[in-house]
Amino acid sequence: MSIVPTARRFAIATGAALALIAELTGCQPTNLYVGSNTIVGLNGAMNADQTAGHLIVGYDRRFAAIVPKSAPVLKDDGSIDQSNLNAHEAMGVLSCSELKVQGIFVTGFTEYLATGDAAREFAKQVADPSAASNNQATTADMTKFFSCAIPHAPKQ
Amino acid sequence: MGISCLWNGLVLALASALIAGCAFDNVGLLASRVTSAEGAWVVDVYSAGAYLHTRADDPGLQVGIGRRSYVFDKRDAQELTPGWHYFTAPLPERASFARDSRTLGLETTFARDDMSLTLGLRATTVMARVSAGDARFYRLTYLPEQPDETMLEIFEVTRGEVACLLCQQPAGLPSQLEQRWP
Repeated sequence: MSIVPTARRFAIATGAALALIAELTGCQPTNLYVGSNTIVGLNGAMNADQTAGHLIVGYDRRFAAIVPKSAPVLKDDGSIDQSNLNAHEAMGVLSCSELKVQGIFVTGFTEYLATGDAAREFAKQVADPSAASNNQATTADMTKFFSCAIPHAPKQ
Repeated sequence: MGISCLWNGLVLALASALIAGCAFDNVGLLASRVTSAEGAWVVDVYSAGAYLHTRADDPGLQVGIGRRSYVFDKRDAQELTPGWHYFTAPLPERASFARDSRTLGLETTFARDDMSLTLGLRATTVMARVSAGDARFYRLTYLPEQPDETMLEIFEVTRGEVACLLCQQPAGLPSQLEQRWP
């Protein structure tokens, strides 16, 4: 099975789900955000529009990825669609995160990330069957860059 | 016992805040440590007391004791001076690639994606924060307790080839388009 459709489905599903959450809460994130937050004590939070929030007493830990849907709509050639400048879509993201946790702290992580044009260009090359014959980016590259099973790139 | 311990810690943190002093952005009663890592600078900022930080990637107010660590791409090997710095934190203006913060006391955050108030212990690790319009392609390994183990590799895709833009050579200087993977 090709990894590209899987990656696309994952990105689209993730983006759509988070965009829906953002829509429901009335908040439009403008940054891709991948992070962890641990609270021991008292914590109160609210979104920017003050339409949703929470109050935590005790212990809480969250790992979250927020994909903004405020990226401009692009045409097939990668240029911005000038005919509909008010429209926005989910940001293009390829990501893989490895975490090491000890107790309540994150003691280390490796983040593999491609966003925007870089993600589109890489995915395009991976999807291009002629690229493999030219020793260019292939699905193997996709696996190497975004599979968390390989922690570091080999050094030359 | 856990709650009692936390309460004692809180009292200690707030007492230290009252006794200690304050800091604003890069100056004040704080100590910082700059670590030169592979492709990255890691700046750890330790503070006690009130610390108002207005960086775009980490706005907030902290009252208590804490450590805030930032990972920046190493654009210039001479940009920062590794080692300890006192009463100042040599933080580059540009946005960090990653951040790790641990606070005991009171912490408020003012970021659009993180508006909150915490009383107690808060540990936050931001593994990625990229603006919706930005194109980035990188791999970052970061261990907050071992900043010298940090490794940042920035790539670009051109004509179907993946090139590493900020991979270090043995001499310790970044190279441009000299390493490729695979």
